[in-house]
Amino acid sequence: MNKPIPAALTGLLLAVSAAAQTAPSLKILLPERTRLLQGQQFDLILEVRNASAVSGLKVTAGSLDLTAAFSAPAQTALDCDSSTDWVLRANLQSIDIPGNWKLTATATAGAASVSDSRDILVRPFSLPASDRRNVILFIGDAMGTAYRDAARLVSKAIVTNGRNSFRDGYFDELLEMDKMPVSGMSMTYGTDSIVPDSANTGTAWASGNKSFLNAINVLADGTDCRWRFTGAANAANLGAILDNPRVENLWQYMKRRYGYRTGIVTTADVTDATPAVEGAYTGFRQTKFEVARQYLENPMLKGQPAFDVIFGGGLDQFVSSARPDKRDLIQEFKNRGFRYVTNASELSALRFSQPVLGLFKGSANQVAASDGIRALNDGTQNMDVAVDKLRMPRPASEPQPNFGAFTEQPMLDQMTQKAIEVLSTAGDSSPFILMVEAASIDKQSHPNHMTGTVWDTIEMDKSVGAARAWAARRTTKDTLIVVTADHDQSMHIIGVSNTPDEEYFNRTKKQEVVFTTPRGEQAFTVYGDSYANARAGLPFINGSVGAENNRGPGGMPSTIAAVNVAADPASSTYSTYFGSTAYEIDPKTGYPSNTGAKTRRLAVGYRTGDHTGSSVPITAEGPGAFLFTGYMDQTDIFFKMATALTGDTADGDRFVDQVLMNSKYPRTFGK
Amino acid sequence: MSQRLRLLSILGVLLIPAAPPFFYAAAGQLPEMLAYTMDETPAQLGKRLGQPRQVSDLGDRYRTLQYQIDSHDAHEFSHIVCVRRSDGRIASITRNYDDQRSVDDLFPPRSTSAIQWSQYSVRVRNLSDGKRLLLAMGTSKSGDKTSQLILIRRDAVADLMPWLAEKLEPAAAR
Repeated sequence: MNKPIPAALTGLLLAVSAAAQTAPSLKILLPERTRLLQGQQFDLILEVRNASAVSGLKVTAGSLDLTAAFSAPAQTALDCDSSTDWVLRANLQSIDIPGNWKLTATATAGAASVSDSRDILVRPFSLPASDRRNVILFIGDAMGTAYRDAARLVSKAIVTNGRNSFRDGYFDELLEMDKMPVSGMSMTYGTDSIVPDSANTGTAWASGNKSFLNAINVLADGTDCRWRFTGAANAANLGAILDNPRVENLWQYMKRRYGYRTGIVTTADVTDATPAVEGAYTGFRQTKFEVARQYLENPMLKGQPAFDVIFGGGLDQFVSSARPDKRDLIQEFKNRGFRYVTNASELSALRFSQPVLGLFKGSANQVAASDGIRALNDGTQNMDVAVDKLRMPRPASEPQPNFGAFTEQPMLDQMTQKAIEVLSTAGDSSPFILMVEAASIDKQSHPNHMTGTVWDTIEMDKSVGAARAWAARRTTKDTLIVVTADHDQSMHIIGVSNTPDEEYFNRTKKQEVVFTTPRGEQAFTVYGDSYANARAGLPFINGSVGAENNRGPGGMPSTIAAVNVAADPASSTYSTYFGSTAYEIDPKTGYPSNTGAKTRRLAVGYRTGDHTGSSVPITAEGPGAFLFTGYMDQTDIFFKMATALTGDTADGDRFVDQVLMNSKYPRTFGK
Repeated sequence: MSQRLRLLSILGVLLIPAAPPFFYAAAGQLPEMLAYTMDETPAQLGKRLGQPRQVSDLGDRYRTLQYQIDSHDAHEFSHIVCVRRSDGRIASITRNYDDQRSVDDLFPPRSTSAIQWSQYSVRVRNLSDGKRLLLAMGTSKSGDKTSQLILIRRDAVADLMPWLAEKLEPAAAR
């Protein structure tokens, strides 16, 4: 039998417990492993909790006294509790001397002394007087290894005069991104999830520091609970969303300090996460009205525009009818000297280096969403995908295009070429840094749209080819090209399908399959293209029925449950797995055709409709490319790009030229 | 009707009142957001929403459980449940919809008021049990559509939505 605890001891325990819960504390809002470039701006923010007042603040970084940079303590509710808390801000600070710095903050909180410290690594950065370099970063959104494989197996397995360029397991020619001499792998984990999103992965390569899901170049803070606890990320909470510590990205860093020209090109809404990390700072990626405003009035650039080139979708985020502030950002960009283009013809006609805004997709109903932070028709702001822009037919399970009024959208390689042309026309004295994103590799993977996914990856590779060709034509080898993904998705290569066109594109021959689960019925519609696209949730095309953990049926889902069978694709006898892919080039578009009796389609599968935590490939070419070898953290990409820009890469560049590219060593066929 | 079927029907009628309120929503008898009593246990939530896709602790006081039960785009979960860590009690339930929709049926004028915060507005319904508020985010009047409803305990408003607490009647925010 337990002895009763004496009342006095109970009281003491309660007092100790209460004291422990309410003890004042001070926190520096920088991560344990903070890395910055020399002179890179960041918000230095301190949070003091459980204190009736704050006084006696002292903040030092080594011998530097930063105390005077801080604002007066502002009482702020942190952590969504009832304690009395304070925030002290020193916005847009920087450390100009490279090295390891011990940042220490001390204060009196109520009657207690509180302190915190961080070790900060400040890396050197200086540009040479001449020999200034360009960087072009390609992001295939969700372009993991299988996505590159898929693009290769479709676009480099081309039958011409009866001869397949993919024979006996070898390719005559690899992808443009395969041909780049240096490759590595990038680990993409976020601070709060091993499966990241495009916002916090972009933050990693753009700012050199990790953050949480949805964060655009900011770190976590104590007011995040107001919208992250409840999901109430709306205009009422905008203050709590935009008050997080900001870390300057490489695009603003290079423009602010060295006058670099900057650009973003994307097939998404230009305010989507991947382009946003090059020009905005917000805790929640969907604050798209604010992202567009920061493109015009960038906080790191004293209110000047973030970019010289902006190409993509997202028209609605810029127009006065949608924006709660009723500002016409397109007109305001024009007032700042930008040209404005809206379609492929206007883009093609651009001839000068003047800054340019190109918005090629929007909606027919340009109004704000009920959250007050973005346009209502957010999903229709992305540009249409390559298969649709090419007017190719979609397989039966994928949706038909709906261009609306935006029937003349440019391809990604056209946007890339024009962006490079605009950015480089000013001459070698004004170098540039450009990000190009193939966004719908990811956006088409979410709903498991195979052709949408793969042809967008091919479109991306053509864009890489355009950049490589431009860089190769230059007399000075001055452009680093890096190709990587922000994160992976679950697509994988499962073989080859010989389903004929009349089955593959047949939208009437379908089978609705219903699973009964504790949460209700889960329904799927299976079309004849299933053998080329095994979607998540469909446990068919499974020959390994003997495996203990793999007892799915060996055939199509008619063996599980089926209703509304218009015509049963399960009766098909088409094969998957064996043989080689085979496509023909459509001479009108230059892309592989997805039709024809001789076509042998790539078969892929998806395990989920979401991101994964797998590492992603990275390839590089040009000065400093050798830095991108081996396994690396995604934040390293920021510092490696910065190092390549400094020009101090001669030893490694010689190694790539004289060893990796030397024909006396083994070379991969097609490279 | 056979005697066996009749017996099953009678048993069914007898069992319905004993079922937790969220079953009514499953049967279409109560709109989903009104069916949550906010006294549900994690197991009861699990029966309705499945396993959470993500669980996050932010601070010592609350935990957030994020569920995905329909096709809403990644990272804006269909359901976000905020739970008080000390006793496991639900503080708020947020429902994100794929599209904006009319929610007028859930906001009868008699028990609904509109709150304006800067340029943002919210319709607030005081539910009859006195402990819950239902919010239609970004709406100010009948006919306005929204993609987000939030059910929140009155005693959690000051913590989770201080901007709303400032505007609510003292009795409602208490």
